[in-house]
Amino acid sequence: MTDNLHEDDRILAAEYALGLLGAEEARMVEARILLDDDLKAEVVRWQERLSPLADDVPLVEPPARLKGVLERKIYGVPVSKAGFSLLRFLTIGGAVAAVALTVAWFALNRGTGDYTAVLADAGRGLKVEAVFDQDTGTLDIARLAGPEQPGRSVELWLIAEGAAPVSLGLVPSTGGASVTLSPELAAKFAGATLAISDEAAGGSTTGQPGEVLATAPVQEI
Amino acid sequence: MSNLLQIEMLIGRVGLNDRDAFSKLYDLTSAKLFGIAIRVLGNQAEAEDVLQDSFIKIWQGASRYAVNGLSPMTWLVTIVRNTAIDKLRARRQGDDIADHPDLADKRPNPEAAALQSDERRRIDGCLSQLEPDRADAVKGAYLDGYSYEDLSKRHNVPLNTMRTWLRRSLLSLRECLS
Repeated sequence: MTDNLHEDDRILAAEYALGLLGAEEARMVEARILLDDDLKAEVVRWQERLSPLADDVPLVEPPARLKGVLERKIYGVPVSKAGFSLLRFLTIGGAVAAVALTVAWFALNRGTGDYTAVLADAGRGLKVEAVFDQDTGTLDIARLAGPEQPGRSVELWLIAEGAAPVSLGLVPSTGGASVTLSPELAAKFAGATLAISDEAAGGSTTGQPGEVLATAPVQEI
Repeated sequence: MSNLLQIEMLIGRVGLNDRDAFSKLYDLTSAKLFGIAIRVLGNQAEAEDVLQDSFIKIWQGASRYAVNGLSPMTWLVTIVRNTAIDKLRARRQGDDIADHPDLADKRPNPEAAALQSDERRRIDGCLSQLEPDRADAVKGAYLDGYSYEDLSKRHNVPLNTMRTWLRRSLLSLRECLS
């Protein structure tokens, strides 16, 4: 071994990779991995060592409908009302309308400089969506699932590549909230990662995240 | 092109939001990943949810795949397994594992045992050097999602005893596999 990992951390890496830890301990390891490359490498080694245990699990074809449902969830396109009206125009409006609409369709779905990320912590059943509108500088933060824990807050962070996390504000305890970001922050969205953290009520007092619950790369929409 | 290399390249393209690559990656790997979700959860409807959530994570996380150091199949399997275990634990919360003896006996079928990879033979060889109940505990944690707490109840030993057992077993396993 070329790293300086303590024996306890080697075991911790194995316990984490095997899934033996309780939810809280596991989140703690995940937060440490973000900062400790040796620990991360040991977790990776354990994941590789253990993965042959899944080799003889029988293959099962998922139902065919799942793929379409999944693609609609990810791309969010054909289930929209626009999709249905496109279909109607194709049948009643003829080829000209269809071409015009197809052009409009592609124009609408090209990158717009808007960004989104969905952050999910399955252990807590927490799901948060952030959508940033570059034109107005407005960031919408929505709690899609998971109640606020008593005495705790969930805080949203922007992590630009190679930079320290910057707070974007608290995730509302229910529903959605909008904040307007400074142009400096707005410029950092492309290629950034968002994170949510567990904090004492009112948010981090240190300027840096506490326990990181989930991270997700920002996607351009 | 080998399957693994192809999967690795597809993940790279998915990281660039390539929908066609995502579709191909799904076609190549979904049966394996769905099989694992079903094996862990023992429930088709939950496994469908887990497969979808996992592929959403794959879509969102593919751009960071190259830096995480995992081989492509291990990365995909780890995502599905973790997502399935999270779901399993959410279901098991407040529910006594000892009340579900049926969950205990999900052994691999005998035909599958004939098709083992070198890596699998190696880990089986190392597991066979452990006490049988400890080897079972390691396998149970991997594919049944048992935590220390679940295992201590199942094997009827105090939590700390189970921790000590498994920590020793994991150290021997590492020694044997390294």
